Amino acid sequence: MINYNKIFLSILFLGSLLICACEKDILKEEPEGFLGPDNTFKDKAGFESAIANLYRLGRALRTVEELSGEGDKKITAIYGAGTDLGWYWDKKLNYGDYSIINPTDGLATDYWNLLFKLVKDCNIIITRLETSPLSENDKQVMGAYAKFFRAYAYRFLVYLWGDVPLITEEITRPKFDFVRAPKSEVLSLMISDLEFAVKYLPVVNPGNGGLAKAAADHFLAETYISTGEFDKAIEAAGRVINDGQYKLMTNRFGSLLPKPGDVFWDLFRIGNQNKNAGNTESILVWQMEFGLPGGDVAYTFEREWAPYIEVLVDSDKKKAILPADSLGRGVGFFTPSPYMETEIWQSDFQNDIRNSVYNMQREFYNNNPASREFGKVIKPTPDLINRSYHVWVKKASSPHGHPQGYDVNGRLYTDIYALRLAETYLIRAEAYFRKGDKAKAADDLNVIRTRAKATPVDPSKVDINYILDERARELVGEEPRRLTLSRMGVLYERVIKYNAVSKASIKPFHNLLPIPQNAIDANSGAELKQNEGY
Amino acid sequence: MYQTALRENKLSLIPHPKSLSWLSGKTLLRVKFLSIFMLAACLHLCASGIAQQVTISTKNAPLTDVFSNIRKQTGYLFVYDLQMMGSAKKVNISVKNVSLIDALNLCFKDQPLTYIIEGNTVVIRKREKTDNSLNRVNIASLIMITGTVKDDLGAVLQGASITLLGTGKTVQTNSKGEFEIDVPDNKAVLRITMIGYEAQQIVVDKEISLNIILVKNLKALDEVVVVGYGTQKKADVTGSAARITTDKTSDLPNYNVMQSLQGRAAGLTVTSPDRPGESPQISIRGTNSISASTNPLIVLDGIIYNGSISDINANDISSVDILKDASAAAVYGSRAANGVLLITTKMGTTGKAQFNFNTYHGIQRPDNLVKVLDGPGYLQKVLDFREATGLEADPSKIDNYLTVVEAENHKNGNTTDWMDKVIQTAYMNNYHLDISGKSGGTNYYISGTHFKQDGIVVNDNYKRTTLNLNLTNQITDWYSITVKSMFSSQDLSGRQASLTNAYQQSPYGNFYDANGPGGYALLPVGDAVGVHPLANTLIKNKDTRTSLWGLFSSNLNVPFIPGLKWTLNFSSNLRNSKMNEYIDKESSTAGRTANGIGNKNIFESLDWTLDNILNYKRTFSKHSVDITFLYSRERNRIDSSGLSGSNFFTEATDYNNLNIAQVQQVGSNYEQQNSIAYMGRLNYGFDNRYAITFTARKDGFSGFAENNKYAVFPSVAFAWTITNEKFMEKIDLLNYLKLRVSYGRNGNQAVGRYQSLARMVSDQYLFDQQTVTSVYVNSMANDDLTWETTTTKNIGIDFIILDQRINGTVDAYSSNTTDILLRRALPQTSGFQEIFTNVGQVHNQGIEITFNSINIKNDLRKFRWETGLIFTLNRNRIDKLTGEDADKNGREDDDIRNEWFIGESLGSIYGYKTDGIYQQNEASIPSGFKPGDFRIVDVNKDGKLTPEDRLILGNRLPNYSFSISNTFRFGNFGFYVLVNSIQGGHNNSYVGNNYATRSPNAPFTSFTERFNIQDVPYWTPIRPSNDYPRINYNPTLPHPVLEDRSFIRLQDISLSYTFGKNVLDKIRLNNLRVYASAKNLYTHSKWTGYDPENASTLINFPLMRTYTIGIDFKF
Repeated sequence: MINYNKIFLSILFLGSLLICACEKDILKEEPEGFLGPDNTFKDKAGFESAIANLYRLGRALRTVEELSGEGDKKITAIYGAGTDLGWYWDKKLNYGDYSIINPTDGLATDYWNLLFKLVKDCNIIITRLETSPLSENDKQVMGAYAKFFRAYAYRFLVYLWGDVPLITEEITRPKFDFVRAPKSEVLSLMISDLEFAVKYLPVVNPGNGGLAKAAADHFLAETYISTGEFDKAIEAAGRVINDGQYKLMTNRFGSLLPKPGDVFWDLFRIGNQNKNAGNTESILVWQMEFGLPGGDVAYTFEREWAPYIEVLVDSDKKKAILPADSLGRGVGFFTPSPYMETEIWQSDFQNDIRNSVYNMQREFYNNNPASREFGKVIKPTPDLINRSYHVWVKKASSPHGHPQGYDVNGRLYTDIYALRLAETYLIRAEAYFRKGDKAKAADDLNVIRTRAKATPVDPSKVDINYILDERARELVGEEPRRLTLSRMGVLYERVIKYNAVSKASIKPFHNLLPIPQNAIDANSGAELKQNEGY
Repeated sequence: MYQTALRENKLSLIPHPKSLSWLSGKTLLRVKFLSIFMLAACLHLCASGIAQQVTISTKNAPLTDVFSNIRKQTGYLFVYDLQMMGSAKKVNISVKNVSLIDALNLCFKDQPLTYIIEGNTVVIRKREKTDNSLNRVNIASLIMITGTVKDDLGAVLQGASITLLGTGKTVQTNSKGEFEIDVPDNKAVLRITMIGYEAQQIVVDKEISLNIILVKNLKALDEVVVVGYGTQKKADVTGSAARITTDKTSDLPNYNVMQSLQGRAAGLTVTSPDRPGESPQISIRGTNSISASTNPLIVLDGIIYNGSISDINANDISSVDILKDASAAAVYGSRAANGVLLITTKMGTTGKAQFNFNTYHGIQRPDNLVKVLDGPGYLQKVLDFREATGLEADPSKIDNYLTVVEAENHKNGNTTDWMDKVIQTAYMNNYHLDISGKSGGTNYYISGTHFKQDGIVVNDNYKRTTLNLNLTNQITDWYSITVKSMFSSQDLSGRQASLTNAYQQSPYGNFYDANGPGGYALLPVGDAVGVHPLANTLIKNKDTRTSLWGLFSSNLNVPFIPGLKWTLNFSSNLRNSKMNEYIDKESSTAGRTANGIGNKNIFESLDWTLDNILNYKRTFSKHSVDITFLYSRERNRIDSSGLSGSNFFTEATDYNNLNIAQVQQVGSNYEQQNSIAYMGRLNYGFDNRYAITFTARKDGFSGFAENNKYAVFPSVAFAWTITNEKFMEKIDLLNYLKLRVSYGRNGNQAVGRYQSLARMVSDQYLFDQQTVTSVYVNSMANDDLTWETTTTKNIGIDFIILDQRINGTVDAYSSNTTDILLRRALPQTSGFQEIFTNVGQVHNQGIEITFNSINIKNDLRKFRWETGLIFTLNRNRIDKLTGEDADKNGREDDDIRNEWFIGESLGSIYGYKTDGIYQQNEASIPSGFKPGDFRIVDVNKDGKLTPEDRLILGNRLPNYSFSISNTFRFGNFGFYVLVNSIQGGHNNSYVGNNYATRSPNAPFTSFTERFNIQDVPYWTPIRPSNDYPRINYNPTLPHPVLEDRSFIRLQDISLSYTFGKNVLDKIRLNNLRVYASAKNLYTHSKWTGYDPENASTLINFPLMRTYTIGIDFKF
């Protein structure tokens, strides 16, 4: 009996001990279903994937991928609404009415967050490269990509907000004490980043949307203008123009060659933006592709800029517009100003191909076979003109490029120019002009005007306003107009001059955006000063 | 102590003459044992926890030896007079696993003695001849009464005593709950008693067949409470715990057990689900945590359950115990900061197999709907909108402002009430069958339930099938095993109609289109502005979830060390969910653009928990000890993958053949987490007056940072049963009074896995047409991430007064939560949005009152009225945040971005305050604002609206809540009504943002131009309003519109009828009950949205009101 007792107890406790015997490190946690920085930034392939993300965020500055809420409406305020080019259709929201712009503004908040996200991702690469086992050469090249994108992000930040926090390293602990660095410090960081990029980025443009030295040179030139180093700016822009790989397109080319059109129209057709499509003008192109992972993001340029023609009716109140591939689906968020619609074209209205019927459509035709007015120009009722009947910048269109022939969301699947050579000429022209060399400035402007079959400009007529007019003609819808005007510090005067809607409410301080209240509120460890006036 | 005395000294024990009034004779008068016997009454508590199966094999043994053997096996006490035992014959008996009564009957077979069982005491007495004499004298007028005794759930009660008052004559019910007794006349009064139930007296009257229902004793001191890794007598419990049985709510259509807890326990908050199959949100004692989960820990049949509460069928649950204070919950250490819910499933209760079938059928309607504009209202809106935006607004040209389709329908006078098309009267039903019983050493419960609930929103449907099998087998007298399993299959297939598309749709849109998908006009007004609200329902969607849970438990009562028990529990839960969807080319614009989209998502998780428990429970004289040691190990693994494809050249195979999609994408994930715990608990009781519990648990959790994996959570609690003191004996008014004090720490680890690691996220980009993977760091590492710790002080009393008529519990507590786990918003200047971190300290304090009374109890008229009152009050305050003082004002900084303010509640709502609407003639409308906008208050009166004008506007958390339940029983009728209320009290407490309902333009961030809106008197120049802004209002400064969420709700009503024995006998059923009930019948509130409790507005789902009828029978 006693033996049984003892044996039993031994088994009992041994048994329970066995079960207790815990495996060591059972609580150690390893990322198994996701990546961590330590198992990613250990070889070249890891850094390359992180750099691919920089491209993605670069593109996100023009799409609505990273914007919250109705990003398609917000982003018009960067590219046109509330500038000299036009306003949001209801004349109030999205920078139509400046009196309602305050630190809670959605666009300012989203854009700030997105840009600092890009800064963060660049900094992580730059910091991690230092301790990585990569070769010295790889470190330089990878670093060049990251520094290019960091400068690209700060370009938006410094011109749109002025003084901004300057962050140059990976942040590994929560930080609540950001302070604004003077604009000059930001500009000098951009210059050193871009100089580094110029040195180590590939010289040969890879042509598939990849980055080459020329892009860094271009933005370096633009930055030198801001620091007043015009010669350096001219030199940097010159390096792009004289590179040999880049040339303005002068003949028709690409995917829609058999269709009626002109070379300027061809530049914006589906499949025509990359170097391998025969395009020698593109320097940096954000990539898009319908239905392909990584390429199918909401780029709603058409929805934002094309007039809302689908509500037009004929005199019998029948629909005048039926869905069609050539028409896409514009919703007319952006209403062009008379400046953009007519004034800038006046001197060469008929001959400037950028104002041809292919590129600036001003009349719309009834396409409803059931209508008695089928095929005729639609005459809108007056109350519809505001949003449904204004000039259509055809860069914001994609005939034969819509999936299934019609996209109800007004999206485009054409690649997006981040930079094409025409803009480099405009930058050098600006540098020459600011240096005081109007003749050289006119020369550069005339390269562009000649391609556009417009009358060359006389050097005496060249001034900042003329350069801005030329930028509008060439780059409307492509350049972040607000950034250009803010960079030059002329937003207020240009709006007063050309934007009949916004001029009533804009004040000089609106040249800069408000610092988002969220960024100020969360910055509990230091005061993040608001811009004057807000 | 009583037992010990009996064993050690072979003393005989004499019952109190008053309580055993049928006993006579001077031999029984031994007064010194009086008090001891009273204590014996307390020991009845053990009865239901004690085995009643007896195995004896003995030859020629003295009767007293047999008694001692039976006592060891059953725990029953034997009371007898030693002298009297002299006359007893020796016993020959050999039985195996028979009931106590059968065994005793054998022992007393030819004895000059007989016995009676009172509770868990067997009293031996001489076999009297009085019965015979009674027979002789009154033989002519003797009436034989037969009857059955059941509990209020219809389960038969074996061993209930039926005493003929005035005679001492007593019989007991057999295993079928039946009894026979002879009474002299129809004025005879029978007293029916049973431990754990209230005694009942019945006048025989003309009935010769009685159907007696005993109601559970309110004081329920004998109740065994589940305390986590074991059980305790309720009297020994030192912590704050509450038990809720599901019997009162069994007539209500509660598919989720949490619904049955709504308004039933103080300190427990349960929200009302507003979608079919939805699980209510539950929290215990307010909000401790900010970002970590506030869900209480669920322990199912003794083991931690990580699955979904919606996989547990409410019909299979017998009780839920709630552990509230730190001491009660301390055994669960790091898991217990939000309280613990211990769910116990049903087991067999009767010897005979019992079949129980229950079904209910119901309809559901929206409790409250927000009206949208009808045709004429919509036209007016179009005009008002145009006018407000500065466009031409000529009523005679209205057709110019409509779309072509709208204009035509307007001309022809066709309108569609879209809300009516998507909101329906929905059907629900439930079928439940279970079989339970005890036979030999086996106790079983087997059940199957099918529940189906349609949504009041079209196609928002839910189905669930659950199967349960619970088995316990007493293999030897010292070893038993238990196997429990639970299978559940839920089906949430089908996309519901879009409420948003319905209320936004123009009343002049087309409903039908012969060429459209399913005959619907996909774009009702002819352009892409709004999609048909029913188009969603055409999408092929299959969403199923299955769960298989099993518990294997081994229980060993170590034979050679009395009181030592080793329990090994292992549970495992396998969950699977599948979400397949094919968005075809016709039913949605997305499917059209992408040329068909197919998705297949598979999720699998496997959790297991192993508990190794050693327990030693013993009583020495006046001292009782209960020691528990635990080692526990837990692992959770999740495996998931998602496949998607788009651009299908054919739709023949939808989501089942994604291979043919031209664009194919995959995603996959794997996660695991591990926990280890060690726990020790000592419960020491002295003289049934004092009890103290020490608990410590050490927890290890993989989800925390490298050096913070382990933490220890101690607690101590003390209870004093005042009524057991000598000096209390004379206070008759007070039946029971216990004071409890506890202090302890719990943790919260509910942050999920991998939160301390920096995490990278992948996305994609492409170069030319070549997709590449892009990765980025999405969250920072936090090397310090650790437990959130809550330290709670609790003081409580339990009382029973007025002859057991009123009982109650009052608890007051105060807790401090430190190192709060929270998702702290970071300045996005850093590129990161937030971080999971430990910050600050939150203080909670509150009072909980539970009060039950039997207002009317009239056994003779079979009328009974009980009332239950629950009151909960919780206050909450942030004491500390980061501890920084950046602005150097000598006061710790608030965290405005996160709306956390030192000294204020966690539920603070911060922002710009509004005060009506700017009117047209108003003198100073600030720049950026127009008449018809909400007026923002210039709080600091500097003439400008700046961020400094923001302030704390109100609180999301309630001030107090209460509920009142009333149960009536009149004859065979039962009636239950529950009123539930959550109140804000003063100071803008308990408000919600109802901007969505108050601004007609709110659901759209821009303009209502093309959409229909709710029917509200919005501001126009000719119809000024101070409540609703202008039609195209878009806030210049974002602000909430707060409304009081306080409400009183007639939450549950049920009426039941239980058929009498004469009817039951005819149809050969043990029990038959029919019932009807209603849920969410009426809500009184100022809230203008759907439902104040969920703060739901027209962008959410309306609350359902449910009416059901049901039938329940047992055979």
